[in-house]
Amino acid sequence: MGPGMALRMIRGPIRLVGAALLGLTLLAGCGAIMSKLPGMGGATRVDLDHVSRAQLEAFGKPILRARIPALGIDSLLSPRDQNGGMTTWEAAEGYTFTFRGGVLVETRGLGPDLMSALVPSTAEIASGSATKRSYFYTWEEDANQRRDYACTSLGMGQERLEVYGRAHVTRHIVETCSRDGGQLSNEFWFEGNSLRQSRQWISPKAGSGVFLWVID
Amino acid sequence: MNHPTARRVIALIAGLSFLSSLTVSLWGGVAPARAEMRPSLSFNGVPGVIDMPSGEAMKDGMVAITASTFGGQLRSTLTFQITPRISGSYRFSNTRNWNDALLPGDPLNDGYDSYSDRAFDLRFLVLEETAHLPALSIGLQDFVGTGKNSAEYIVATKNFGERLKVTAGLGWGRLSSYNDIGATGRRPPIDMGVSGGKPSAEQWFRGPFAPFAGVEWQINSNWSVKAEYSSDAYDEVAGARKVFDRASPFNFGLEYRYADSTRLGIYSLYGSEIGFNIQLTLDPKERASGGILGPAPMAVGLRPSRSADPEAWDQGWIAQTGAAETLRSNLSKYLAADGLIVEDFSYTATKVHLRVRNTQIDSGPQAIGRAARALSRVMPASVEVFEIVPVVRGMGASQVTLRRSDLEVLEHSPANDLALRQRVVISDAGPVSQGIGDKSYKRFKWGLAPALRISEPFHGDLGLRASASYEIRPGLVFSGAVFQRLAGNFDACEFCKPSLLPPVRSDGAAYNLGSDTSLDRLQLAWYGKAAPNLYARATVGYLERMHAGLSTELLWKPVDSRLALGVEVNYTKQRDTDGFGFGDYDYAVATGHVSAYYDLGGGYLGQLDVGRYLAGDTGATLSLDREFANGIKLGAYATLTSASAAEFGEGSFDKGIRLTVPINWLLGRPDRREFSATMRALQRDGGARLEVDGRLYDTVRDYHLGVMDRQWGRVWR
Repeated sequence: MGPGMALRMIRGPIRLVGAALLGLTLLAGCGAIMSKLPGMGGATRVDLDHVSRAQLEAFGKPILRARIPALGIDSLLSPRDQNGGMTTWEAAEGYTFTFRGGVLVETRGLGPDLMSALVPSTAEIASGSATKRSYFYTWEEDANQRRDYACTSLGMGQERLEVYGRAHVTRHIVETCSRDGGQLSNEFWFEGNSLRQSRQWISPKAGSGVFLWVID
Repeated sequence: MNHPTARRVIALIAGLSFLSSLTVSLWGGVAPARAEMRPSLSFNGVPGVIDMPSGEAMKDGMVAITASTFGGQLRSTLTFQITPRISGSYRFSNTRNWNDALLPGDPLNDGYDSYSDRAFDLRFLVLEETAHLPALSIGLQDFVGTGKNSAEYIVATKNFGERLKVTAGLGWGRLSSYNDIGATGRRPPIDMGVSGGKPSAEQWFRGPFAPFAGVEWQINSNWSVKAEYSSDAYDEVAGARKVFDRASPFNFGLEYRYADSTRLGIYSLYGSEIGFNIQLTLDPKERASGGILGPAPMAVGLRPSRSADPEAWDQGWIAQTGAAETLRSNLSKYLAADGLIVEDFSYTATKVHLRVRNTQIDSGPQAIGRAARALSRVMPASVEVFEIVPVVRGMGASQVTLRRSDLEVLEHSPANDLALRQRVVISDAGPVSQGIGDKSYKRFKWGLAPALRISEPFHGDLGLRASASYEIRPGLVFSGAVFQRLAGNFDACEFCKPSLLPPVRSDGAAYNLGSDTSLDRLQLAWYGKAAPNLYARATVGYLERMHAGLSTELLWKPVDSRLALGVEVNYTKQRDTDGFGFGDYDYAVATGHVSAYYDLGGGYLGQLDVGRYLAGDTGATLSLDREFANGIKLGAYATLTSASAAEFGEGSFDKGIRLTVPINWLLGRPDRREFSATMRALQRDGGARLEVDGRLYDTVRDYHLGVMDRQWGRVWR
């Protein structure tokens, strides 16, 4: 009878047993590697800290600088389109960020994107009233995931921001949001009624992004 | 001379010293969030300590691959958490020096250098761990096979604090071979019948049982140490065959966790061996990149308000000459960036009908969303209704009807995917209208890639696969593939045995050995829709490496139905091993199946095929697959036919597991290709189906409700 299930041939020009295992090996390892890469392959990396205001003004359009440390992103954005109160800004690398009056509601192209959001207005944030936020993501199984938060904001006083050689006087406001099992915070630097800078939550895997309105 | 007790004590002291020195030198770091960490896996590839299993289960849907070695034994296992409570494993093991310690006349001596075995396991999580209760699992190890390595167990695992995990259990069968403490009845000998390969249910949890236990201590978030007491005596491997020396029942190990997905370990086993283990785990529900990559979509085109610009809403544009060509070419430009190709395009003043082929985006809803955005940028303002028909192999798979106003209003709204789904209608694609297609798509495609062709475990050929296809018109494709062997180590099929059935599959080795250049496939395939919800296919030519002929298929599958029914009828001849002729085998056969496909929901798909197989046997195949939203699919199947166990040969009946991984999962950018593999215990001739590619069910279902609704979250992506 032979030694039980002894060595037998597996047929298969196209069926790759070992390669399947190899493939899965690569896939599992990829998880670790890809989480360290930025959302998109980049254009040439320019050090945005050492660019001059004149160079930025030469573009002739409004410029927003977006930094997302968790994804290694640091790019310049310019407005692409407007729909109702929403403005979408776009980077050369292909990401887009959509704001409603300066409050982030949507990103695309990052990978761990914010798919949509229900957000308070800047007036509500600045006034310090209690507000609600909802964030919508697609992660596990590409399914819609919703997280609701209750938020309050607190004024931190005046702050002077230096943006590419120009000084701006701003009111710094911190918004703290919490839900059962988590909390996050967003920060806003208001110049008059509009935003000069903000640090806003994007998604659990992307963390927060810092948005600096450089050229108006 | 052997002093077993002394050796055991020394091994124990050595192990404890090893542990304590490690503990001292590696202490430090933050206590890990134990609940977040994936359970570690044993040498058998299931949640376990070292050689013994533990009571934990992996997270639902997770896939794990483990490779381990010690004492001349190599094991590699694929484990899948099929449901939150049930997991299955497929293990390949190889033991070297199989007969080295036996004399030539010994009845156990079968002459092979090494012994290879394939095994299936099943585990069931009875209790989830709570604050007061341990996690409790029962498992069947190697439950379909010769039975001599089979084991069953009940095991519990509890975490104490953030660092300590304790496991204790009882084992039957092989796991009771060392120091059993009692018995539940008598374990009947395995009824192998003629050929084994059947579940040995009469043995389960019967016979002697023995305890086993283990502990795991988390030093910091990356390092952990383990110790266990093993109830597996390795009677044959260590006893009769002396492949290694089982000097002690105690095992110790040190593991390093690199990222969530990878663990490496080094172990002291059975007082005499050093072993290694590498564990890779993958969560198919999550994307490696954290989300779907690819460039952002274009904005939805906004129409001016009627009052501000009433002329833009005028319907007179329909009559303009050249309107159709201009619109089609603008549309093609917008769609090209996403790999979408206009197959057909027609319109009225208020409605546009677009039939589009998706060559790149892995998700149907995302392709629909991109097509809708493009239409909103191109079509004049009076066009309010969009009908988008995704076309696959020339057949309209479904139709998505949506209103442009909904697109404009919902573009940046919260939870806009759910909102849009409520307003669109997904129905069967109507008949093809006579519109204008995009003649610029590439009809001829070719590819050249390195390929690996495995004939036996660790034996195969490396070469190049050249493939080409020419699309005569949508739905009529001429294609072929050739494999050129460059190098390999498969020179002779040492273990091929003659078959009692026509050798429709068991001669596969002869095909791989037959020539260096092999024409894998050369065929003409036709696809069409015979009626609403009724898809048809006919493929003729050299359909696969071993058989050529004609394959025809009909599939009834409404867009919104969980059930689909199909019938396939084939007439094929077995090809010569080295060329185009049919003289070697002179074997022609008519085969065919009636199939029922059922979408059980939650990504689970069942399929039952009843019919006649290549060797002339009749019977049925039952398959169950689990598909994740990102396209990763794992499944298992079993086939029972009129070929008796004796005729089938070793293994008794055909069974196996199959895996599909979409390429975009690996590359992180849009791609529709997939990589598939089927792993069987043995390839015999019973229950063998023709391997024709492009069968209808998988071709059309991506755009039907089951998959569309599950992936709808991507429509605005």
